[in-house]
Parts: sequence; C-alpha cells; structure tokens
Amino acid sequence: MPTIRLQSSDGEIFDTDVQIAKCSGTIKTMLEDLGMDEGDDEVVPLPNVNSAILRKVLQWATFHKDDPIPVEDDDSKEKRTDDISSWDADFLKVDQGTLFELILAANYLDIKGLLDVTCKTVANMIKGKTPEEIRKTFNIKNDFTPAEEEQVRKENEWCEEK
Amino acid sequence: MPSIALRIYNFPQIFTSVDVREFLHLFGLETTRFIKRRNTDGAIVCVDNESEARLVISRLHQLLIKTHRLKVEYSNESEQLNSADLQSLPTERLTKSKSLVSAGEKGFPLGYEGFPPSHLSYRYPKSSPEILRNITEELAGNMGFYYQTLHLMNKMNLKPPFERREESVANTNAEGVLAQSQVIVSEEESELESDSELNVPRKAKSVYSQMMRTMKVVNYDSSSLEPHTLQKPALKKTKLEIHISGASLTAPPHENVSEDLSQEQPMEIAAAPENMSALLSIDDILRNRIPDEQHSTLNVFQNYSRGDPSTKLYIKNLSKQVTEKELEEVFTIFFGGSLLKDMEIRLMKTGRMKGQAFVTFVPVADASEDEPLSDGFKKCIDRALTTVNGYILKDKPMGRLPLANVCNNVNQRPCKSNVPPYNDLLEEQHKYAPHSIEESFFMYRKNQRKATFGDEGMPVGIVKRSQRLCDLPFFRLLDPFNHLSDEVLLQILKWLPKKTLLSCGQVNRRFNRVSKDETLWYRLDLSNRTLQFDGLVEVVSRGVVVLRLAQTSIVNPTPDTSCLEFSPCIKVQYLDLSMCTVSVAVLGALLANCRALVKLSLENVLLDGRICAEIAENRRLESLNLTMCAGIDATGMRLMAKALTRLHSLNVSWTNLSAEAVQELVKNVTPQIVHLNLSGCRSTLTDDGVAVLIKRCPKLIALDLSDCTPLTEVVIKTLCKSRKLEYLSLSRCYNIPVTAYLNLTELKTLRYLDLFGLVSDPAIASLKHSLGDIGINRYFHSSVARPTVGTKRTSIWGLRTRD
Repeated sequence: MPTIRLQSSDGEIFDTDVQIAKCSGTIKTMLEDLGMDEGDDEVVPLPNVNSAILRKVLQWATFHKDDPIPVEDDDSKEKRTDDISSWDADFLKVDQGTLFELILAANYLDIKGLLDVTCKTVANMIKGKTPEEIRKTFNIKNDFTPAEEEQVRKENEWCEEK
Repeated sequence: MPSIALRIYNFPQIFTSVDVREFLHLFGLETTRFIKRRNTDGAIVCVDNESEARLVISRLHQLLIKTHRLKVEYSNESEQLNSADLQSLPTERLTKSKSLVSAGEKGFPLGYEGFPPSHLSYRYPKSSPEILRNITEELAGNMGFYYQTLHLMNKMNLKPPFERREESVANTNAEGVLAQSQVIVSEEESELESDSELNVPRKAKSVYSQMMRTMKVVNYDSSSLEPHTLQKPALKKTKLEIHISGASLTAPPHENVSEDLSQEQPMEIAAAPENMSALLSIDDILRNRIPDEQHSTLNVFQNYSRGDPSTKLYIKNLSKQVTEKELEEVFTIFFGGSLLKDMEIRLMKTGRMKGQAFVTFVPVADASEDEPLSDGFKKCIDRALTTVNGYILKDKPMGRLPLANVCNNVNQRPCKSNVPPYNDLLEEQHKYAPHSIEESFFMYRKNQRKATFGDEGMPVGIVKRSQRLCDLPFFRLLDPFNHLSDEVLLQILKWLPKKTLLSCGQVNRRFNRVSKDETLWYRLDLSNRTLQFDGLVEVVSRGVVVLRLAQTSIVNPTPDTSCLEFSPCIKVQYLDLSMCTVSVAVLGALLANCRALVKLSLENVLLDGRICAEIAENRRLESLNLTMCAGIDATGMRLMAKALTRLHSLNVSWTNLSAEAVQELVKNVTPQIVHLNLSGCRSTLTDDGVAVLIKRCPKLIALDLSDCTPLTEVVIKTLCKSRKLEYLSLSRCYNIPVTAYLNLTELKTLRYLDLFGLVSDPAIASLKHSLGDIGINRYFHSSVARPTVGTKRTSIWGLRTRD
C-alpha cells in the first residue's frame, strides 16, 4: 500500500494510506499538482488542521474509504438529515468545539462526506428550535437592536401555520 | 569508421573547445577535431551516413546560441583526430556553455529538478533586497514555484515557514540583506530630522512614533542588528516596504528623535535592567499618549473601564507592527529593578484577538495565590496602566483594561472588558468577507487558527496548557459559528427545513443575512396556507425559483398594492397558483413582477385583461395552464397567443372563451405548440377553427377538443391531415357520428383516443377492434400544462418543491 506523510499544523506526521488521504479533494489536488509519485517520501503540510483533528479526520476517512465517491449536490435528491449512519453518529458524539473544528477541517480538506455529516449534525441541533433556543445552544449573541428584531420578526411572520 | 565529416562553427566567442565538445556531446556527437575560424572555436564531427548528417544539420544549423547562429556544413577535410586539442581543458568555463545551452535548447538533459551536479558552479549574483523581492513576487504568483520552494526547504531541513518565527540571530543571508536595507533607511531618515518643537499634531506624532521604532534599530547597535528586525522570509518584502515607505514620507515637524531619546531624557527609574530602556522612558510615553480628556472622543475608549486591580493587564488596539519585545520594553520601565521577577506577554497577532495582548506581572516575592501582593508592586501596575493607556505605540493608541484573574474567575470579569473588542472584531470579520478563492483560503486559515488557537495566536507555552480555543474559559462565551465562514454556515443551513430557516433568520444579524441566501430558497412549497401578501413579496424576493402556492389564500390587508416593493428581479420560473384564492389586484401586482416564468399554472383563478398582458410579458413561458380561469377576453388572448412564441403546452379548457377569443387563439398561437387543450368551447370552436389550427400548428402531438359540441365529422378529416398527432380527445362531441371515428385509421401517428361519454361499451369494443393499436379512453384527466398530475403532489412539472 503506498503511503504519504501528512503533517498537521503542530508538526505531527501521519503516515497515511494514499487512497485514504485522497478522499480529501485538497490532498488529491495537491498530490496531482505536485506530481508526487506514490511512495515518495514527501511530506504534505496541512497548516490548517491540528493533530487531534487530523487524527479524527483520518479515522473517519479510514472507515469510509470504500464509500462510493459522493456526487455533487444532486437537485433531485431529497435533503435528509435523519440518514446519519450509526457509526457516524457515534463518531460525532464529541463536544461542540471538536464538531466545529471537524467542519472546518472537512471544508478545508474538501471531504464532502464528512462535511455533509458534520453539517447535518449541527443542523439537527438547530432543527425545530426557536431563535432564542438556537442562541442558547451555541452561545450566540443577539446583536439586533429592538427595532431590527421587530422588523425581522415581521419579515418571518408570513409562514405562520394557518 | 565514420564516413561523413561535418564542420560546425560560429559558436559564441566565449565557447572554448571544451564547451564546444560538451555541447556537441549533448547531441550525441563526438568531436574528432577542433578548428578555429574567425577567432572562434569550431569542430569537425563525423557521422555514419547521409541521413544522420542531415539530421545533425537540421538540428544544429542556424541554432541560436545567445547571439550566434551555428553553422553546419559538410567538410572535405580528411579526418584526423587531433588528440592534443582534447586535453588540458579549463573546466571553469564549462558552466557557461551549459546554462547557455539550457536556455536555448529544449530538451536539454539538465532538468530543473534536483540540485545541479557538484562539478558545476553557477555565477548567480549575491542576494539583494531587490532580488529577494522579485523572488517573493514570483513565489506569490507561481504556485508551482511556491510548492517547489517548500519542498526544497523541507529537503534542506530548514525550519517550516508556516508559523511565526522566534527571531534568531543565526540566519546569515537574510541578516545581511536586512542590514543593507537598514543602512539605507537610516540614511534617508537622517534627512528627515528637523528642529521644530514638541507641539506636534497627533497625526504627525503617529508618524513620529513609527520613525522612532525604525530609528531605534539603527541607534541601538551599529555592529549587530537588533534581533526583532529579523522576520520570517515570507514577511521580508513587507518588512522592507514598511521601512521604505516610512522613510519616504515627507518630513513631519517633530523633534530630533535620536537626540531626544539618547541624551536629553534622564532616566526616571534608576534600576533599568536592560539597555533598551535607555531608549524609552516614562516621559516618552507621557508625551506620546492621548490625554485622558480626549479619550471620550475616540471610539477605542468607548465603554472603557479600568476594571479591578490585578496582576494581569489587557491591552487592545495594538498596531500590527508591535512585538512582544516592545511591549516588554514599555512595561519594564514601570518596575524598579527588584520588584518584577518576570513578565509573561501573550500578544495575539492573528485571528480574532489580533491587536490584543495580555501582560502578566510576576512579582519577585514568592507569593502564593492567597497572599496579597505587596503594595509597591500593585502601585507599579497601577501606574503602568494609567500611563500606558492611550500611549501611541506605532500609530494606534493602546486601550487597556485590567482583567481580574482571567483563568479562574470568569464570571467576575468585568463584562464590558470583554464585549467591546469582541464586537469590534466581529465587525472586522464581516468587513473582510472572502472575495476570491485565494483570499477565502487565507480567511479560512484565520478561522482555523481561531478554532484551534494554537498555531500562532498564542505563545507555545500557553497552547500546550489548553489546546483548543473552546477550552479556554475566556472564550466560552464566543459562539462556534464565528469560526466558520459564511460559506460553511450555508453548508449547515442548507440541511434545515424552511421553518427552522426562519427561526435562524431571527438569531442574529449574520444568521439573518446568511439565512436569506438564495440557494436556500430555490424551491418553496406554501400550498394550503394563508399568506400575507407582503410576506409573499418578502419570501419571493429571496430568490425562489420553484414556488408552489396551490390552494393558498393570499390575503392583502392593505388594499393598495402599488406600495408593495418587490426586489427588482424576481427569479420565480415555476409558479403554481392553481386553485389559490387571490384577488385580481394582488395577482396582477404579483405577476407584474414576474418576468422569468417558464411554467405557470393559474387553474381556476379569476383573471382580467391586465393579468393576461402581464402573462404575455414572460417571453420564455413554455407551459401555461389556465384551466377554468374566468376573465380571459379576446384582447388578452391575442396578446398571449402572439407574444408567447416559445409556448409548448397550453391549457385553456373550460375558460368560457368567446368566439372571438377562440378565433384569436387559433389564428395567433405559436406554431411551436405541441400540447393544446381547448376543451369546453361548447359553442365557440368550429370545424373551421380546428382547420386553421391544424394548418398553423404542424407540431401538435396532443390535442384535447372535448365538449366542443359544434364540431362535426368534417373535423375528423381535418385532423387526419395532422402529421404528428398522437393523442386526441373528442369526448362528448355529440355532433360527430360514431362511424366517423373509423376514418381515424388514416391518422397513422395516433396512439390514444379518448371518447368519453359518447359511445356505448360494445361500440367501444368494436372501435378498438377496428382501430387496431390505438388505445381508447385511457385518460380521464388532461395533463396538458398541468403542474401536478396523479398522486405526486410535492412536485410541480416534475420539479420538487420541498427539500
């Protein structure tokens, strides 16, 4: 199995199976752009991912290495958030900070599957909540002035169930 | 033995015979003898046969080497190897030929990869700021070069350039370069010195303070460079530019800096621990600070509160150029020699906290946490706070707030000290929303740093104690979404149902903005509801493309529709208003803003002439369903039939059209029409009308003429002239005798025929027999131009309306 060496922002080196690393669009492109030969001893620096998160990401990628290549957003496909596999659900039983760092890493590394499942997890945390509940869940500050808040409330009034 | 000799000459003068031989060797040619011609070296080479000779000529003849073009010709001389010429060749000139050839000849074997062979040496000029700047520019523009450089640094075991470097004096080359530039700067600066007095406006002061920093570098020690001017390579360019721009500013009226600093000012604190403080005194700070009474006029000092006394000071609004070292200098002067044991400075240079710093003072007395600090020490801190607050260090006044025990006592921290910088920074973050891919990449990096808060935001020691931002109690109050770019936030919001999206829109300003992104509102199903018209306007303005409003009641509290403002460009393309309850005025106002419609259904809605005109304005309309609509007059029909040239499907069944309107339709409808439903024209559509229609519209595939009672058997003959008709409905056309249908065998393309309510079952059976493959009475309901067919109620025209 050819491997490549990935270096996290804090300098830790991860020897990784090339096929697993290539689930990241960013790494895939990097390898192609650099014309790195497989088995080369090059180190791919990933300055935006720390070792704790990179370890998680690679754990995910290893489990999902045989997944079909995800297609770009298909308009005809329904958007469901209740289809998270039980492995992923367990994998994502982490604190909020880690979850958001995983989103950032998945976005930076361009791993669509991981980005989708992490975003879905956050979406599920938001779903069905009132604005105030959403703020509380994530410590979000309400920066509306009272006048703006009234205006925004009006904007969103139209959808009241009949 | 070689048979053909070739003479190759006119090499550039710098080519020695060795060069010539090396050069020819690259082409697989062995030099047999050297010749001299017009003071340049040439060579005789031998090849095996004529074709090889031609090949050599084609490759080498007229080949441009620098300014010379090679000449290759047949030689008549006898081949005698002059071995003496091949020996004792100076090797130093070899290199030149190599580089020359590599520039001139493609496929030169010496590639760009790897290091040059050890026997070669390149005569590159020594590095200069100019050259380094050019290289930096090239690095920035050429990703391949950038990656190769990183590789090279990696191979050469250089320190990774990804993190901010602790300044080291070891670096040799860069030092020399910087030293050079420093010299230049100091010379230019000396010209700027003038004798005008202290009373300088603030703007000038800021220039002055910038100067002061630059000056200090020079004054401090002429033999060795002050370490903090050494930056990581990527920053060299900026660093240099800063100096130069500072130096080129027109001379502001200010005092003679060097004199002032080094001589005039006596030291306030005697026990200055380091040389540096010789350059800075409390008086300097006092002179260079914004007076307290002016603070109220500056935004930076709004909500300022000193906070409770503590050993840790919080500083914000620091200039980008400020370093830990400079902060240390500033604060050291407040502590007499023996009081201060250590100073821990956390200066945030990147991320949301950039421009802010925490300075913790460690007293010499080995005080445990319970023991109160000595009064003297407290006073020093207090004095430092009072004095430095508002000090203009490199352009920006420092605003400072003491923080009471950040790590242990989150709740006791004065609220104000936290919120204002946080707000400022939020604003700043919005200002720098990503523009291009490149930028957003860096934007992203910034966010990442915030998230991990390890790499560059804090000194390493701090990072090790708490790896992640969210673990720091100080940051518990910040919401994690601030680490995400809008694009990523959108990735989350796209999974939410519309109702939750509306909740999100009320969370805060950013959520409000992002939740209105049109990609989230592409499709919308608001069927079976009661909607306020202004609400509808609001939602449609978000960029809805597929909109289902079937059986919706649209109410309008204000009778005046003109006051409603739509966003100038409404994107709705697929609009289903079937069975909806809406007034003519409101519908008119809605349609007046729709110009991009591709498919429209207004089934069973009251129309008027104006609405017909508005529909006609949607030139891209392909499907129009007006089943059971009332209010379509001849004028409206003409407008629509004439304007809608792309119409593919039209359903005007049971619209109670006047004879005149029907005439307008059959005469003007686009020849492109494929599906047409005219059923229910109980007294207005005649055989002649159908004849006009069939002649005009050769592409018709489906035609529904049910309940058009005036039609007679003549129409069958007319229909048989159609070329493509596959579906025909003549249900309840009582004036056509059953036998006439047998003639439809002539219509070879026909596959389905509906004759409901007309013929008895046995007659149908015999018709089926006679008409062979044609399916009879298969479709009860017309599907022409209809958005929803059968049981699929969440899609209109095959497009989903729900996520």
